[in-house]
Amino acid sequence: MQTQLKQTSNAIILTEDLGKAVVTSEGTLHILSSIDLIINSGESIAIIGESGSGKSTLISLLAGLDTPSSGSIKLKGKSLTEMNEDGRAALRNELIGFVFQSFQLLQGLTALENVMLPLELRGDKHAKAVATSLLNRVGLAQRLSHTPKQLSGGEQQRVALARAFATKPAILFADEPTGNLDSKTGETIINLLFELNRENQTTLILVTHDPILAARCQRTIRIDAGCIV
Amino acid sequence: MSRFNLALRLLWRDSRSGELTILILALIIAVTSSTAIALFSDRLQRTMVNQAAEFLAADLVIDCSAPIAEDWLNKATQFGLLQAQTVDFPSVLIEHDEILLAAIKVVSNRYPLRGILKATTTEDYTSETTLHEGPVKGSVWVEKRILSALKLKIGDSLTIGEKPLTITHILTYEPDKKGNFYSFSPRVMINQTDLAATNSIQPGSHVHYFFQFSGEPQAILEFKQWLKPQLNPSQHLVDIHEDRPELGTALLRAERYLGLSSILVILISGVAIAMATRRYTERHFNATALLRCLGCQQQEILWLYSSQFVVLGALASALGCVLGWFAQEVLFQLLKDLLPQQLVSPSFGAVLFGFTIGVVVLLAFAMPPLLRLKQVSPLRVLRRDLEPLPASAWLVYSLSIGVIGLLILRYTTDIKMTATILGGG
Ligand SMILES: Nc1ncnc2c1ncn2[C@@H]1O[C@H](COP(=O)(O)OP(=O)(O)OP(=O)(O)O)[C@@H](O)[C@H]1O
Ligand SMILES: [Mg+2]
Repeated sequence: MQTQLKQTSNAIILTEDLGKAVVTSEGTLHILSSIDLIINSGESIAIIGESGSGKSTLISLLAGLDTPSSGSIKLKGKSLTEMNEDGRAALRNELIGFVFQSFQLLQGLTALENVMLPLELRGDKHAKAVATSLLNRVGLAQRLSHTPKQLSGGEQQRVALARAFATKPAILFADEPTGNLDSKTGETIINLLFELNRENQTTLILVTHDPILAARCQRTIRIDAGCIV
Repeated sequence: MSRFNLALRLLWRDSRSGELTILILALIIAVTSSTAIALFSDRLQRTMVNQAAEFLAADLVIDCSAPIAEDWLNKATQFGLLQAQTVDFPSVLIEHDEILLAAIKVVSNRYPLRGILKATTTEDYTSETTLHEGPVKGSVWVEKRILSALKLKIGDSLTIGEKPLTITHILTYEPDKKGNFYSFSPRVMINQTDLAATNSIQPGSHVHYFFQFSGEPQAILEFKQWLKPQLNPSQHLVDIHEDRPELGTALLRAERYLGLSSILVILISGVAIAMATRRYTERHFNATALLRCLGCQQQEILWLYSSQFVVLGALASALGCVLGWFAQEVLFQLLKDLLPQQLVSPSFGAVLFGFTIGVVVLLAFAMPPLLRLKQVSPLRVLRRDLEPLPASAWLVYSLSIGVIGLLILRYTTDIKMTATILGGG
């Protein structure tokens, strides 16, 4: 009881009986059911599972990109499930960083502008200085004015890492961040990700198929057919 | 402010990448054509109306064979109209044993209400001047033919009926000279205050009275509507439309024709704008999902894109206005042999109309697809197949039909015809 309470008070993500079901032409599809999770601040968690098991769906719910069909989610003590879309948007900007498999940089903007974007959205006056130093940190000091088209996949993912850490998020979600990269480039990106994570003491939720990568996280959550096993 | 900068920066990148070229071109074409047509018909119409008014020497004339009731004139005063009168009759002049049939015109103060008189005080015309009033009491103005035919010169006395008057001017131009029988007889013009003394008007004389009015178009219209039912068959109302109906209807037809064809251009541009915006929108689903994921709220998304479009629309419309202005000048140049020499200058209102068309067309045709961006789910960053609902068909049709309907109504000023065209189309 004592340990349980302690854990709860330190929890940055807390879910209770979380479920997601969608109605399709063949009836109701239960993508996730009965997910109870406690993730503590600063923890690094790997989510693994077969393709189609519901990993992306789980992080989309935890990050407030989608709404659950049942259960509740608390982020840093705030009930995500009670917020409306705009509230969740504000919370995402405040608390959450993302790294995607497909990088998701805005093609029209330079590397620097892409990293400045989340800072500008929150009205940060020092957006440019912060973004420049982060691009420096990921080794792209010479590529500030290049657009995504002029960068390799690995370089684009570095820009995405810089963007994800720019707002010093409390939680970082990474959905197969090396999925589109060759193994060598993937490894450097992962090293960089873990370094930045340590420096910023971010809570990391990493979706991956790679057991070696999962082993680098403090804890592994396996999902099978929508349930934690 | 930084968000506006962000919008402008995204817009700048988009336009550089050529994504909005079709949209900008369509908008410029729509604004150019509607500005050109608005300017052209506005200038032509105002020129014609001015000329026609000059041709009547007034905005409205009652042409009759006997004086009209006093209270009609009082009513005109109530409407705030200016008034003048002329009386035309033929008279035989005898001087130095020479006889001549002349067309006498008796004019009141304020004549001519529109247009000008031209006269000279020397026989070699060197001193021809422009005048805004006719002869004063005791004086008479004559056409030059009269002097030679009756062996007279300026300063001599000329007797009209029973009244001798002094010749002070040679009349060279009068605005409301009618192309009728009298124009073959030379003109003599005297002041109204001398009419009674000539004793020329007898029962049975062939006399024409012209009661002339000028004023604000609305006041003229109201007075005309008040007057019309009271006229007897010998009293004729003359204005630009009644006097030269062929001019009035030709103008109206030309404006309708040009206007309706510009609607076609606007409609085609509108479809091009809608298609370009749709494409633009679909290409921005991913970027929008990312912005939403990074914390942009729905209203901000809408604002971000619509402010881009408003800036774009304003720039393209302004350019269209300038091009439309040039197009209209070229049109007048090409048609200069067919049109009046003296044109009134282009009006700002017509340019503003073109600009408004641009902004309205852009909003009406681009808004429904743009609104979809607001609906893009942030979840699309993880699930690419997630698309917002298509633009509401109800919104698309009502906006485009609304705009086209308003335009048709403007050019036809006929609700029934507008409904028919919309219903058929
Ligand atoms: N809105 C929806 N409608 C229908 N099916 C859905 C919906 N959302 C998710 N699914 C289905 O739910 C299952 C889980 O999807 P999810 O993307 O979470 O899997 P995943 O574990 O991330 O798989 P992968 O490793 O391939 O990325 C899939 O079969 C997917 O097709
Ligand atoms: Mg997935």
